Amino acid sequence: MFGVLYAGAVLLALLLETSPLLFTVGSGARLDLILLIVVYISLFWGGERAFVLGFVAGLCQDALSSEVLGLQALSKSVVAFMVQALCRNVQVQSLIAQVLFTGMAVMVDTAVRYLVLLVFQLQTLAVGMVLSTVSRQMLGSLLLAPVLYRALQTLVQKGHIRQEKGQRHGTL
Amino acid sequence: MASASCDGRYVTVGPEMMKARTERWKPIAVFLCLILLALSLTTLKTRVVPHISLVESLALSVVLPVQHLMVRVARQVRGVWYGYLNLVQVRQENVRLQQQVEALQGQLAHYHEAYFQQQRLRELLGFRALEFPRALVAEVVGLDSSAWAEVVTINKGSRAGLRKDVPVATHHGLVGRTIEIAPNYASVLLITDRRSAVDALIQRNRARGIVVGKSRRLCELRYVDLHVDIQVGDTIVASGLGEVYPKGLLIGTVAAVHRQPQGLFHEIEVQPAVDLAKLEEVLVLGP
Repeated sequence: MFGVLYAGAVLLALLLETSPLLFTVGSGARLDLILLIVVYISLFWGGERAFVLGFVAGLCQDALSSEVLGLQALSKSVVAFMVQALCRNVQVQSLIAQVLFTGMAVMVDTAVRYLVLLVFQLQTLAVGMVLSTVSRQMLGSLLLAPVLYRALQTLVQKGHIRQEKGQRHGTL
Repeated sequence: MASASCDGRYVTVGPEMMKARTERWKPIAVFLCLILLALSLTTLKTRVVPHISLVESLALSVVLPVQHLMVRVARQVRGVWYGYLNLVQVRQENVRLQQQVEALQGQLAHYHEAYFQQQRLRELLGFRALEFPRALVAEVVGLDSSAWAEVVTINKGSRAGLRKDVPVATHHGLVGRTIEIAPNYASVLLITDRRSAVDALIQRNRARGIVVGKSRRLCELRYVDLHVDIQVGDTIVASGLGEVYPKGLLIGTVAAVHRQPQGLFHEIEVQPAVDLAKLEEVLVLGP
């Protein structure tokens, strides 16, 4: 059941992210919905499953991108690992915690991608352009994240999906 | 089971302790494996595989048909809205348009005459007309999932005879070139993407440079000598070198010129001729 919810959420996120009806090319105001799903799984489910699912979601995003394969998979795995490691002793139900972790995730995701492009000597955006893009993305993500997490958590509760032993019982 | 402690003595480590240690290190081991896998994929894609991979092909075949359907439905709904429901002020608009049609008909006759004259002159001088008899019309059905990339997906692929590095344009000018081809879809790298470079000419004085994508729907004309006279509004066209983009295809106009006191070249901002934010249909030139 969790697998179905995860696959559905990732597919929907990919459809929305790549839709020319919602976003335009080069506007710099694109939301990374996959990133929000990865943060949700890391915050509310945790465990190694979080970064494996983060990796898979990133790989799906890579498949629909013209960037090098593995770039988003790498950045999403790192984000999942960091969020999962840092939120162990945090009340993830708190709105402030959710907003802080989402903001951190946007920055880590951007930094990892930028670093990999630099290391592989691939063409990157100018630093000013990256900062402008990340600030817009962060603003949108911070506004959307609590709503999305609540929606996903409600679906989990309605679908009677049980969190396994050792995982956080995240209820909003 | 025994292992050495820090002071050289041997201590017994039971299966429970081993299990606890494994549990502690398991997440880090899984994480490192994933990082290695991602880096291997990145290296593989950068160095070895220029073509579309199995994962990409699979994702395209799952997501893009749904995306295509969504775009079609949305366009039909929009058509119904504009065609039937949004009829406010249509009467006034109709009167205004009729007056405009009369004015434009006069201008059209003038342009027809100029067009025929230009055709005759072109044949006379032996120039090859800029025609693309094998051009294909394609619809934009998706965007790149990365916010940093300026790439769109079109609904024509290898089954329609498309291949890599084919120029894509609209009647306004150059849009980009195909970079990844799936059976029914293709990705088009726009000229504003940071990875795009087009050899170009300034139409007025034939000075050469390279139009490089700057993102956010802007380009930059690089390597134009400081001694060349450049003005805002100058037209930039493809030079035809590199054998990807046809010579004379309109790229855009000079939007700003930043003169550098030190340095060898001008810093020129170029506004693309095509409004890339509103791309709906494109023309794939000579697949």
